[in-house]
Amino acid sequence: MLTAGTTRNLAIAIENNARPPGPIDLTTITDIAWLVLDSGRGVIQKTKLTGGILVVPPANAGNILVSMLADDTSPAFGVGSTTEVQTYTHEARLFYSDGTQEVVVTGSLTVEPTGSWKGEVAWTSGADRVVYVQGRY
Amino acid sequence: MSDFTMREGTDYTIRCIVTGFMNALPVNVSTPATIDVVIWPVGGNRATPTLVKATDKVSVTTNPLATTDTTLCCINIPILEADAGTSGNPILTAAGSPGGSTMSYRYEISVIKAGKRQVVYPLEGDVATFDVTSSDTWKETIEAVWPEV
Repeated sequence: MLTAGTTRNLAIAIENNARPPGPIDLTTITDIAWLVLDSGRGVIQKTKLTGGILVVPPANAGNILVSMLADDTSPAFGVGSTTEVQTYTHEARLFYSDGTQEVVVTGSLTVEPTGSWKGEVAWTSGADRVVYVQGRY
Repeated sequence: MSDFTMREGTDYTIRCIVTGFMNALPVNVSTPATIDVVIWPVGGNRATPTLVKATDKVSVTTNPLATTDTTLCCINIPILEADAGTSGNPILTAAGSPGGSTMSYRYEISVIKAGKRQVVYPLEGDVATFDVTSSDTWKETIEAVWPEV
């Protein structure tokens, strides 16, 4: 639980869908993004390149830290509410050197009206994987 | 090179961000647009597709990457367990599964808007494919790790 006005680091282990699951090697990953989504709209975005995400050494262990700042969960910045529980989804995305990207972690987030914050992660291996393609109309 | 590889028995979502041909501005593909996705085996015939997902099977949202843009330009195409499962009557399968190898599929995403039909993905001249690999298990689960530090 995170109280508004404080900073908290969240540890996320990124694993593949092998049996048994093993860590994804982040050594050659171009970038990592972590998004909080409200009905599909991104409301918080952090990336390794722009800050907010740290790969925990050794990089081949697949562990990252996401830095949640107090303002991230402030209703003044459009996230959370002073009166109601707000539920969001989140996802971690890897950007590969060949230009492709893949969502490897998804889950839900709940922001409580008191300004406190708690995160829940529930996903299945291989499920909720996402690929982005660019279309033209 | 295929766009992605998925295992039988797993979910996968294709998100297609649609922008204009002449510029990079997002294009609203929500109502009154009609969307269809056609999937057929590589080497097969588009006229006899393996799977078709129409408008009611996809959803349209804003681009998750563009936090300030409100244009409904992202087509979310879910490939579900029922589509590529390992039990029942899956539609998308790996060759010779279970325990088989890989099956490649082509796919096209089309939008009909104001009477104009356009294949938005892949671009003209390109071929979009994805692979389905075999799995002899159903929906394995791994444990999530998210301790507070």
